[in-house]
Amino acid sequence: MLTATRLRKAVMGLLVVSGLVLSACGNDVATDRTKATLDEVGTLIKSAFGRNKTATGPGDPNVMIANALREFEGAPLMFVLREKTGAYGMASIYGQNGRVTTWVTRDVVSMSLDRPMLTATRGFGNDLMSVEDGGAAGLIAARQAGSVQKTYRFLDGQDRTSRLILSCSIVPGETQTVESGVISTSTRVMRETCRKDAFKFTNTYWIDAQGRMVQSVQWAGAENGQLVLRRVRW
Amino acid sequence: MVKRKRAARRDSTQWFGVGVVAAGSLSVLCAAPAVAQDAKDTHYGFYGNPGLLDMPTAEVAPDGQLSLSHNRFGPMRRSTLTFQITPKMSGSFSYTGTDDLTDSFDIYWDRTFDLSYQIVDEGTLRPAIAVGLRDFIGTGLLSSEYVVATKSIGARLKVTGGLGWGRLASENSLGLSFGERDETVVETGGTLNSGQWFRGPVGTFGGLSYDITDKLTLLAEYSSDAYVAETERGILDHASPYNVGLSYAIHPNISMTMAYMYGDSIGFGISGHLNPNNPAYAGGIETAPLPVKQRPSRSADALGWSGAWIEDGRDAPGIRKALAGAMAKEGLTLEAMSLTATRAEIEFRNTRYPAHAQALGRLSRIATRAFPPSVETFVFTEVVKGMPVQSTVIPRRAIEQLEFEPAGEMLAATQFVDPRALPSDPMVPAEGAYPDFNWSVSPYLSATLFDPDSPIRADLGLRGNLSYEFVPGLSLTSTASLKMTGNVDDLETDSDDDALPPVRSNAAQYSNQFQLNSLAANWYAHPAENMFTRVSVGYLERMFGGVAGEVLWKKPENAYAIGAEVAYVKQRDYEDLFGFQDYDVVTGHISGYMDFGNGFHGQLDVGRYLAEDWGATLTLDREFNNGWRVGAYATLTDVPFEDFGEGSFDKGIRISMPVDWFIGTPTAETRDLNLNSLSRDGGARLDLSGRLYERVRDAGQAEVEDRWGRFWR
Repeated sequence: MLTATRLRKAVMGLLVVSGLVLSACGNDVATDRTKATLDEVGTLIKSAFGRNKTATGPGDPNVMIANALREFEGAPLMFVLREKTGAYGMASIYGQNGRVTTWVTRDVVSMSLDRPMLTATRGFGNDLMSVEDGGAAGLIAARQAGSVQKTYRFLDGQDRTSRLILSCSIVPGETQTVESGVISTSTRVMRETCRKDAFKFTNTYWIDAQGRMVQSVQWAGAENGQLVLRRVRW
Repeated sequence: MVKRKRAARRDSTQWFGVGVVAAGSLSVLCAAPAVAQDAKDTHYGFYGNPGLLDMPTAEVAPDGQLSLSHNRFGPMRRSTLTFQITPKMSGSFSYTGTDDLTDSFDIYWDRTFDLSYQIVDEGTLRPAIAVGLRDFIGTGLLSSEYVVATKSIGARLKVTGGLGWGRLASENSLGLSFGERDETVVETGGTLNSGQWFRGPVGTFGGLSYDITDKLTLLAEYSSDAYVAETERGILDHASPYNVGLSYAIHPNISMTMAYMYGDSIGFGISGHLNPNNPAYAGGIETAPLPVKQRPSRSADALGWSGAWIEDGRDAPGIRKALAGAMAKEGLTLEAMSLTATRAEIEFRNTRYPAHAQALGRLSRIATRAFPPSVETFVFTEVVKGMPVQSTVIPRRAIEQLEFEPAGEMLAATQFVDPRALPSDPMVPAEGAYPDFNWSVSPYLSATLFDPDSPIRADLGLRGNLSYEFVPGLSLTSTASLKMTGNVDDLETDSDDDALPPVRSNAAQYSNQFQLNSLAANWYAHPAENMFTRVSVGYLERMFGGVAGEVLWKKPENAYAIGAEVAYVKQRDYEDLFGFQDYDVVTGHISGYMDFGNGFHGQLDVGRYLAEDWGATLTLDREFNNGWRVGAYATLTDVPFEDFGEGSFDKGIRISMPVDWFIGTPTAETRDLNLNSLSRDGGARLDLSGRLYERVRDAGQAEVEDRWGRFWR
């Protein structure tokens, strides 16, 4: 019977956290918005735990984050924002396979991270199926510079796997202190710029001294654009 | 052979993938949807296929595109369905009505088929060149042929010029002639009028299109169609060969055209486009699957790894129950399970995922959570209609290691086997899997098209389906419908000639308020490797009842399959739900099926039809991996064309649309559209539901591999 209980635990006890996903602001998709969005998110999250407790309403991400932190005492949590639509939600850990952690939102959309690096999404539509990172995840976690070849795979409209091969250069940047939820830590900003001919995008990671990603802005595909991932509790 | 196919596919996807993603990224940057190209690049004329107004162009639509158009001017109205069959070839089916063209009808309705083939595409200097046939199997009334060239000059202007025969040589004839054109109108229509193709006088036509803006296009042409018959009849005034028009894209995939035609009348057209290659959401928007769970280390679960747990036999029932529960959440039904210390086999039913690879993927993920660590091999056997159709053998280690790797690696680690070829441990049925009772009630719309007196007749009502499967393979199925309103029974049946027994021409007589469409007992089995059988007894279809038997031989690795079907049936009574009439017949076919591997699938049925006529049906489908099918069929039997009646022989077009393509979440439902000739008695086949081939094939290796990309989705 031990295995059956094990299964039930796994299947039933999927910790899924508050996820108020709404379409708010913005269909402005220019990539240079990333920085502004991050600043915006940063202020929002800070204010949730600081001075500005007056900001309320069901659609307020501050309230959502605060509620999630209260409701899921002690559990690792991540705030996720889809820049393209402005939709956001909270994610908790769904599974762990080797170095890859899978996070899931309440509406059962998942994102899998190989250490700091997004390696798969499920449930968005036009999902990122897999990434062969050529060592990028290791370099970023170690806060080292380097050049790699990455292969992103997607499904086309016929369920065939298409791949996009990119050349990426990883460059360590400045040190920044990130305050996010109950986390406050010093990080190094790692920038990874990937190109294929005229097409290019930049992923930005804030990596702490232990090599953990505190926050990041990562490309999830042509349709889904950039995802903002921000840990609010380790 | 399968291997080779896979390798080739990989190469093409590499190239294709880059193209797709690059186009997508453009849209990210400038927010211009890439689909806009579909409609903008190719203008559709009044014949509902690439053209200016009445004249054709050498353009092609994107591969696979389906277009539906309605156009009218003067006394004519035309509805057209066009399909880009291959990147170079397109086919159209039109239904054209002309006011007062003859004395016998107020509106003369004609069905026509057009084909066009682009010989060369456009180069820097070279124009695109295409040949086309209009109305090549119709009554010959609208028949014409052409060779046309189109060249872009700059980004906005396209110039077209061509040579035409038949109708397209009735104005501005060059004065040269290619042999004699046989001008006789074929009364019953429907046969290839190849005797007149590219024969007789040659006319010249030409024109241009100019994109004033991205949405607005100016069209001008010199038409070589003088509308001779229409002018003589006095229903159209042909004052000038020049036509001008404006076309406006009200949506990336819908455009409208207004035109001034032949110096006399105003023309109007609308056409909409849809491409089966582009679903609402690539890969679907269903929720994320369960993550794979690694087994604990050997030291953490020594008992589980040792396999000694199997000794007391107490784990299996609990695993079965938990497994069934987890599978149910994914829309899968556990039918039976076997378990040893190292191997687990799961027999399952999949009613949710049209991509069977996705069902296997979700099952794999669940399995990593369900079984003790010593279980190393998973066998997933899909059961269809009670028949175990295919076993997929997957090593547990591969699932654990490849969760975030490209799907191709998982495919390389997977084996497909006929369940009958696999040594099986004793299977224990899951509680509650049988008897399986399903029922549904849904509204239905059944339409009869192309009746000259009323082009569309329809019945609207409620239809109920019942299925009760007692044990695997043995079931009772029934369909009944309740008509709310409709006019199909007003159809006058012309059974005045006695050449053939009325087996289908009396269809309207069955259009009662309450109909028992079918009530039958079925027995499906997979008795031996590669062999599938089925027997059905009862009221098999709306008009016939009796007994039918079917055998299918299909090897998973073969692209072809062979089947045979024999039935003894009696004609059902018009009124009495359970009664029969006197007419009975032994009917049956030998069927050959072939998957050509390039998206085309063929089927040939040879045998005896319901009216005791002998012949063959050839069906050719263009199949898309995502479930779309667009096909055409034709049946030729020993019934002479004049006895068959209008159309000369039975032919039709069928389109099957997967519902998940539209809504983005998995469902096995499809919407089928069949455009048939009028119900005729020649070449009529028993309308048996649940034939073996489709059932067996859908769950088979080739189909699973085609959509393997969905395994980890």
